[in-house]
Amino acid sequence: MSSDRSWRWTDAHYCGLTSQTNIYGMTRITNVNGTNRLLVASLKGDVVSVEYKKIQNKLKPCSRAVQFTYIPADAEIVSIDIMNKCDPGSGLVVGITFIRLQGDDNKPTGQFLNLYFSFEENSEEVKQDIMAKTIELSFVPYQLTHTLLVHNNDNKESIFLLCGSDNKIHMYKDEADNNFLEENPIEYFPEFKDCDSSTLRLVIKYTDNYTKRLTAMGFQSGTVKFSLVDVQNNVILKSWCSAHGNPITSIVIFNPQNQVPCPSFIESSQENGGIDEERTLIYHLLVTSALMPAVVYRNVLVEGLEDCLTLPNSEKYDSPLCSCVVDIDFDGQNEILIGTYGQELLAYKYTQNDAGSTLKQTEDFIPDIKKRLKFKTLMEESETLNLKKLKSSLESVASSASQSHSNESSPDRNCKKEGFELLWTRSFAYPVVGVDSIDIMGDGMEDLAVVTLKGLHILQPNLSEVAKVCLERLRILADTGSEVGDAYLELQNESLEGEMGNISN
Amino acid sequence: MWRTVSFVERIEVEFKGNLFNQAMVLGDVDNDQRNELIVGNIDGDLAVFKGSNPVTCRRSSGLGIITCIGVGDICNQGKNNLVCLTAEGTCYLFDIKREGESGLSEEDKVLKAAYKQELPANSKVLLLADIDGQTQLIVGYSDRVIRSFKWQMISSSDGGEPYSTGQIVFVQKWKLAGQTETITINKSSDGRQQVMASQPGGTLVTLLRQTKDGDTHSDLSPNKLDGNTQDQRDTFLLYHPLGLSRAKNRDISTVIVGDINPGKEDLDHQTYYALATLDGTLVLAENDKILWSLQVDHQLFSLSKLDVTGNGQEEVVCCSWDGQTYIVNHSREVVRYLFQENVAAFSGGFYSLTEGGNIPCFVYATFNNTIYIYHDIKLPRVESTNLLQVMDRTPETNQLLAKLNIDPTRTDQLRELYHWCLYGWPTKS
Repeated sequence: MSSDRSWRWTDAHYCGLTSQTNIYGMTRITNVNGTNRLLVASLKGDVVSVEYKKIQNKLKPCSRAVQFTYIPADAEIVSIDIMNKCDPGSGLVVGITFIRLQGDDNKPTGQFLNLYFSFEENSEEVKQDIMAKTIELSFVPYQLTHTLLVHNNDNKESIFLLCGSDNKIHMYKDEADNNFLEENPIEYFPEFKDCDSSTLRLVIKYTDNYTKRLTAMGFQSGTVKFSLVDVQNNVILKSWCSAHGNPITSIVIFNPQNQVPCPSFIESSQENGGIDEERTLIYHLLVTSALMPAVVYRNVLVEGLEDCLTLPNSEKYDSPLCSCVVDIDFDGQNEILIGTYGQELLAYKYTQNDAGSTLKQTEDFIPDIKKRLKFKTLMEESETLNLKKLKSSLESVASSASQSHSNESSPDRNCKKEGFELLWTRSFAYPVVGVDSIDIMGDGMEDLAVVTLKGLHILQPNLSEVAKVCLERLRILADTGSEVGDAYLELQNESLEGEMGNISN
Repeated sequence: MWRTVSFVERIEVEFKGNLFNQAMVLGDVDNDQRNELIVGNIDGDLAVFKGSNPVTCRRSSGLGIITCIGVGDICNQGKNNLVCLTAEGTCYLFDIKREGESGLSEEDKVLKAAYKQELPANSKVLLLADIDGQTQLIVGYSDRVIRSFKWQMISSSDGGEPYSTGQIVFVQKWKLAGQTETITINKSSDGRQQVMASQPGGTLVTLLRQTKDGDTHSDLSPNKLDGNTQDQRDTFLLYHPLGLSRAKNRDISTVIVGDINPGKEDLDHQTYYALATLDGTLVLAENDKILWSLQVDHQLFSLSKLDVTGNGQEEVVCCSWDGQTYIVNHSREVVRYLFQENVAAFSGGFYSLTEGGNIPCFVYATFNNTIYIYHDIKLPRVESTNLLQVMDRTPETNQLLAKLNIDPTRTDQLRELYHWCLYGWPTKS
């Protein structure tokens, strides 16, 4: 019902930056009251915070510069990250990496990680300069991110991870009282071992109530490494690699379908009101690289990095630099957004059409497989042979290009055209270096945050149209919800909710 | 903190030379229902841009110092002419033919004036307005005088070109106290069109017409007017002080735009007018009553009205010399856009890109021989809002929420509900 609506995303707000930013320049934090906030760091050391506030019952965008001390004037910020510490009340930690260039004076040059702590639980602002710690780095920093350490007694601890030019990932752990120290991460993250080049992108996602961990790493050399780790025993269960031959710019682990539990206060008697449990186990991996089209590896836990679909023409707008997965048309299916250096934001939608143009699609696909993707399966070498066989005939490539979730060979598989289609493009005034979906308005709808070299855009669809969709569904809910709720369904919802709550990154 | 947006889609056209703000207009000069951009510079070059073509579709040169341009049915023949005034006092009329199937030949691209007449020199602003069923040309001069003219046929023979059988005749003259930057028309409370001129210090004056009801047009011959005394003429002015407490500088340059559609269902309703001063005051007023005013720290020099949201209300669009552009709606909500260069001339209006017809556009002329036409400027709304507020304004929402036993004041529950409705809605798989 919503698919025939054209969703035009327009600027809800734009916030200019004083100097340019980069692909590691945007981070986000959820305030205590549930609203979200974005922080964007620019090269010359300015960090701007953007959020929405209600002033006199009117929603106002609120962007202001946040001052971080101990960043020298001649430093250039590389990356920024912000995290909540796990112990309640211990507040936020902001990490900023920067490179100090050779100044006129004789101050030391080099690379540093600054950590800023703020202790207030209900801090509306990032408290400035409450306490800061500077760590000198012996390598050039790249992405700064954070994740949780799960200890055996189910205690969780927030830690910073910093990718470095020394082909290592560095871990900073709070030893005591905000005394963050570097520790060897291999002890906790066995998948970080043996990196062949610098990690440009690191994504970590916990599943199954923090017993499993999915780690995706994209390297400068073009390798993508995806690992499934048993958290309790700290062993790698499975690991896959694929070579793209050019630097990996972004990686996203995502579910093809949106999964939002039904709110507990809704007595829904909707069929399928809950979430298909099997769906939650399907993970796709989106990989963008600097020179090649973006690729989606489907159902990676089952298929490894074998079943892949390319996003057509995603390399035609200069390098894809960033990506994001979000449902932009409210049909329950996730779409893919890619930001490019060519100042475009590309939206792709997964489609399954009956089409006669399958062959043409296949022809387009062959060079992609042949030239661009050299599969290197660690676990199952035989798959490579399989692939060669597939290449041998056009038809079999067609089946691989449109390989469905399982290997069932239905007779009509060649009549089905499935793949990603370019839904729309939107131009920006500068190269797009970051894109994220975030409910910054505090209304339950995901807005888009797009960072270009010179500023941050918050994009919103036409809210009147969104409200129509929402009303349509509320009407259905109100009509059917008046019946006595199905006890079984409620139970199912509850159990799913529990499960959903445990999936976090 | 005001909302800011960024516009990207634009057409870049080259036009050399310095130009006046009044010498850049959007209008349908070739009567094909699609608006063109017409610009003239102080070197006498006149150019017409059409569609997404970055090259001039028609041009003319050597006209003099072009100070102001207008598009309107000056000859009362049911089609638009291009009117171009120069500082030297020459008034050119252009009759531009529609582009045929075969396109324009090189010869067609050079504009030739269909009519030319010497009028008083030092014009700086013009308005073509339909006054009592006849189009009048109202011209403001740098000596604080405003004169109105109209087209008059000399012989009634209907054969041949009207331009060889008619002329521009003087109608009326007003002597004002201060410099006029813009002249506009506005619908007053009695439903009549009135002509307003801006005056320094954020004030305006209404130009009253000499003709009494029932007077025929033939009575307005120049000879009769010349018999009037100076004093009589001066009484045809109605000054509006518009008690602007913020207007500190009484001599500050002021621009005005009238006939702003309030978007009310009553079509006879009087329209709003807006004033902007170079020291950064922007005012929306209705019948001498200030609806709102706002103060910015940019030098406002150009004012337009344009329905950017498509809701029937025309927003006030104001541009400063340094490119800061304000779009303000009738409830004083503001969206800003920063054009990244200094602006020589700005115009907000309708322009036609393709067959699709006229769309709202902003046109910026820079000091670097380039004009930018921003054509993707439509916004769903001016104010910042979220789904909660939009849903809250829909009457049906509260009924549905009551049916679902949800307290509409619990924003956390609403947020969760809407999030689930949009993203967790069970779909057929």
